[in-house]
Amino acid sequence: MPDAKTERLQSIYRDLCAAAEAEGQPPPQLEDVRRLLSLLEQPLGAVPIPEGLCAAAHEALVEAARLAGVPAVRRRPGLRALLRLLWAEARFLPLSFFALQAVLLTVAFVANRSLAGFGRLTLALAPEAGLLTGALVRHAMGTSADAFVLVAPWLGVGVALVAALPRPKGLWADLEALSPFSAATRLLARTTVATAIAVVATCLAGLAEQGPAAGAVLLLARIAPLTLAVSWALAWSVPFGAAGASAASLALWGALTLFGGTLGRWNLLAPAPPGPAQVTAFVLSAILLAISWVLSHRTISRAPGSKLAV
Amino acid sequence: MIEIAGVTVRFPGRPPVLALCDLSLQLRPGVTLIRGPSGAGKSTLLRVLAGLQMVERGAVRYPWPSVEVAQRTGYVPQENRLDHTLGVEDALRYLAGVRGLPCGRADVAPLMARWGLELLRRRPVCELSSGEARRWLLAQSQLLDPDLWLLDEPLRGLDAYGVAALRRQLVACRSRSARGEQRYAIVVAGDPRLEDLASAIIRLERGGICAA
Repeated sequence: MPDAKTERLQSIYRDLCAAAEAEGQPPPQLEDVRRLLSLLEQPLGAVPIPEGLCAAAHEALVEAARLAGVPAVRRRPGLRALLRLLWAEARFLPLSFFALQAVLLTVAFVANRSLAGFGRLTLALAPEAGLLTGALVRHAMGTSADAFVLVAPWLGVGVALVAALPRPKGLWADLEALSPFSAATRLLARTTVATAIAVVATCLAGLAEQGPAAGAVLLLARIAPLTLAVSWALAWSVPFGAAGASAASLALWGALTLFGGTLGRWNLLAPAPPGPAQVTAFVLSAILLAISWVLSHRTISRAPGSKLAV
Repeated sequence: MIEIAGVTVRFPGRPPVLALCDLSLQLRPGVTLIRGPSGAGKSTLLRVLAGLQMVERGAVRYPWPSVEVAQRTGYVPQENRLDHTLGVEDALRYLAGVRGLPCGRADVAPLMARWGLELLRRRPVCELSSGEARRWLLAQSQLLDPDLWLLDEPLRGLDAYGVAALRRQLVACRSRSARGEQRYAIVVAGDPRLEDLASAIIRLERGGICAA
């Protein structure tokens, strides 16, 4: 049984022979390689290095840095890498996302048509749409574009489900997880892309229906609940995952659609030009995004000491 | 050196399955072959090394900061079934983007050529044969030129072309580690075709080391 030193010599000798062959050179002599290796090993051999010294020294340095309040050195992905992530999410968005959007927009359309006198037919054809219709009627939504305000958050919840739930922990999820970005950052990137598409769709719908003058004001009223819904879902997703985010979004939107009418000018869903409710929604969105960011970074820095292997 | 210190992994169930039991191990740069019977914990060990598997107890120490593990790891899972509809090239580009790497066509072209995937560019990954899927998985594991290359049964279903390409890559890894680079290839393989490339062979049995 050859010892470790002989194995190492043989391994290096084989590599050198392969390299020489690739270069068209004659193979080296085994004895020459042995002499060279022993020459290289002499200075190292003079000072015995304890087993695990490097790992222990690294750990001690990290701990010392932590105690001294020095942030741990890490190679974070830069802005360029983040842009690549966003591009990849946008470029390769799953078809199921668009399919779900189409389904939900159809539901929204049917719900809206029901306001214009087709209510009975809608309820007969799509009971789920009837629930939405009930909320719409309660808020006396008069125009079709305003229906998007109520439907957009449901759309968001559906998108979160499509993005997260159909891919349970499996092979593809593992491949995606081997990323320098945390799961929260990847979710944020996906949410950004989905929100951008929803905002563009909302803007186009508003402009087509209301015209540029009236539409611009109303657009703010529509985008405010959308951004609140997205940032609310994101803040919940960091500690509780996609299921937690979906449940939180459903709770928020359920409360708003059912009881928003009692809030008067603070009703976020009121089909009126932007008021205090919309401004508050934008401010709340910014705060929630900041909380999500902080939470996601705390999750990353906790990893070495947590029960995760790394 | 990668140091695995007292790692225990238990999967829930009735009764719970002890996949790794207080496993301590030191992995040196080069090609390490892991062997053992089914259920010995070989795949679980690779997932722990990749940071994909939570541990009940113990830790893994890498020669680089632990937050960089994902940026340095290439992983080929055991199974071949890819449940995604993206094409071969697009799937590689998507994963490159997710890892913050350049994700243009030209950026993945050398990998496609290395693993013989050029003629399959547009075929959905879910429609690949077992051998083709293996080659695609090997290609994606090299998107970032990994310092830690984790291969779980890489020869499974691999054709002669793929085996030759894999051997070339393992030889390159071994050469670079012999030059003092921190390059690790940890290979779970019962097949003897990679044995001559291994600088160390570890045998696992029931979640612990049997022989090293």
